Amino acid sequence: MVEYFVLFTLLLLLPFLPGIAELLIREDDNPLDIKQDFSKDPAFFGKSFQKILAQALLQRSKRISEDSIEVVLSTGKPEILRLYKNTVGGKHMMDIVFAEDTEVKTDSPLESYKEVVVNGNFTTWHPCKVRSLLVFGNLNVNYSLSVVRWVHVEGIAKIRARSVLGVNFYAREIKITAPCTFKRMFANKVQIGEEVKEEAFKKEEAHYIKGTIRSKGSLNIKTEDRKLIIEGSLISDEDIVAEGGIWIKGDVFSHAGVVFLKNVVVGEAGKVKSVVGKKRVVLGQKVKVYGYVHTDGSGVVEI
Amino acid sequence: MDLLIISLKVYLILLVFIISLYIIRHYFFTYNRAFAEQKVAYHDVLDSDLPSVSVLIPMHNEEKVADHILSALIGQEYPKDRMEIIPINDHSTDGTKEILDEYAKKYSFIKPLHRIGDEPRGKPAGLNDALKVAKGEIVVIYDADYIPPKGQLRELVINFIDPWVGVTMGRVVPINTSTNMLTRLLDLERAAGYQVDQQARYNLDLIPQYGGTVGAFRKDLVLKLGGFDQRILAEDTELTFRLYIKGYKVVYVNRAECYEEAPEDWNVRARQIRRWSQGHNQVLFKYLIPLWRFDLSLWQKIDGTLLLMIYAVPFLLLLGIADSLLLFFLGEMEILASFWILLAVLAYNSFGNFAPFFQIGMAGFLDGVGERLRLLPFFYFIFLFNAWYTSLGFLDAIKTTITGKQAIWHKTERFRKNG
Repeated sequence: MVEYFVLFTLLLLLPFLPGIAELLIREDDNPLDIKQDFSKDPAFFGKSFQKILAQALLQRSKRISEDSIEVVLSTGKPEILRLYKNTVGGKHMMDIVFAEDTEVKTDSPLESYKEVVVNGNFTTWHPCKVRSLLVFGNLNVNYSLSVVRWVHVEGIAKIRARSVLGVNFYAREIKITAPCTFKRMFANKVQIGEEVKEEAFKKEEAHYIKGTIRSKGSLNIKTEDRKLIIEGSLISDEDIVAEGGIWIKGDVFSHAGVVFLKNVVVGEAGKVKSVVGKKRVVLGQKVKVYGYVHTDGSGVVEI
Repeated sequence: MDLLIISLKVYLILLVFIISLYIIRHYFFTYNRAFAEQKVAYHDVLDSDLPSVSVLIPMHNEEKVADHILSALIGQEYPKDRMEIIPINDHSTDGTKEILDEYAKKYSFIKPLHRIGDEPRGKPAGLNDALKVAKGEIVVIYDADYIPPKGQLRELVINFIDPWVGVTMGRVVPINTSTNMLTRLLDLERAAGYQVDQQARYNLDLIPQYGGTVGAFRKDLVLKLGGFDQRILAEDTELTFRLYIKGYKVVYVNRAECYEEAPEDWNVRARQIRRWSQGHNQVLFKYLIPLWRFDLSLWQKIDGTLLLMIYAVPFLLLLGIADSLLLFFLGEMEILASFWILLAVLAYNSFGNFAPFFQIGMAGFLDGVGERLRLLPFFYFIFLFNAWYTSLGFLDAIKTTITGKQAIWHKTERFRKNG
């Protein structure tokens, strides 16, 4: 009888044994991690890399040859910083490329599996394939650029050749005149093709809508003879398609896609506004966005 | 006698039907969270024209936690000229008033509201008073034990670029998980409730719930609707349904995570869940019929009804157990032959109907945690505990509804040390 009771008790306790062990050992009892200092910053990648690199150069670096410095970045592993003057090129599997001069250009195709840092202006005349690119001056892309992760340009970025702009592209100003793909772009002014001037939108001559337009279905806006000014945002659960002389002063958000075929301005100088298409964003000729363009799906510049 | 037996059997079958609906609902939510396309909020939008915000913090004897929340709010990355913080000192008898006045001296955007004397006590009454003086277009509410990350105000407020949005709600995460078995279980329960339940409801365009903290709403809209209903303890749930039937949406922002302090004592937890149950059931009595009259989709009405009934089910279940015992002794228990239904009902109820075990498992998977899921079998005890105290809350709600008496607000005790 006793053995049955013991067996019964053991079987009853069986499902609780792993839990009792966990309560005693406490393998996984920390609160879920919340990053208390998190805030959305489109320059996050470039800024944090700059910070890590500056700290490493100050505290955790040693010169190993005339053109190489060993640095220890956030991973804790030593890495090689390969120094260049006014030209860069070649294939770099393990080392970080660092061009020191204020005017730097490519002298051959550049391929890097790590970050490329340019201390001044950077002009590409050869194909470039990099993991990430940090430019302290202006960036002029004249031959195809392919970025895996992020680009951070302190000055103006001019993209004149077919490019893949990575996951995050940040610059003071972005001018694109060639087909590209992207995920996120941020600049005071993102300009596709020829610039559309806001002065062309005269309130007295244009159609004028005050307030936000919210739609459950798709939103198609096309103007022909007269321009259109929308003093508000466009929000839709489906696609938003616009073309033909439209100035949207607010944000544009779609749970599906945003397609600006031609001649669309979003935002105003001195302000930050956003174009967000969760599944896709297509930007055509003469499109200008003051601020941020974002998609979790495919971002395409068609020009 | 025959009539009694038939009634008992009908009740039991009805109960199994209701519980089966909940099982389907929660399995569906879990499946949706695991495999379906996830709907995100508007937090990817960057906009330099942010609306003005009033942050309200109801406080009653909060000297242990006041410093933490005020420091976290001061550190928010939100334009200070567009925000004000209104801590609502609700008849505190400890050092809360002095702490708030000290902060107000240092920061002009902190404007404490001291409620003293005969003013009605409680969170809804305090919020209504604060709404009268709040200047912000958007009102954000935090309970005093919360610690918001520095980008959170923007993440909650940016959703109001959508004119259909009336309320936004973030995710609550216990900070004192490691304290004891209760806090560890509450951590899992919260994870299931937010990571799976709320997000799935948002994905499916059903009714995500505004939880009264880590949330924001349009001030004018709530004032137009008459402010918070002071007779109801669950002012948050009441507001959710009031806005829904008026056609506004609740946006759930899973990424807007905020630490809270979970109860560390079973008695405190018992009082908390009893209060929640009382308040929620008051809302059930108020909105069960109106919900079906308004212009909502059929699925929203069904889910809304199930959401309203969630704190009534444990009471119905306890009645069901008594019912089945009676039937057993009367020799009339052979009514549910379908084994799979019984199995599902038992499995569901064995591990708690607020956070079924499969939902907790999915939340753990999504949060990337592992070993803590070994505690799942202990939810059997939580279920029994919740069933009892929510049933008491259900009876409290009936009592206050019948007598029309004002429900009494019992504040949840704080445990944080080194205030």
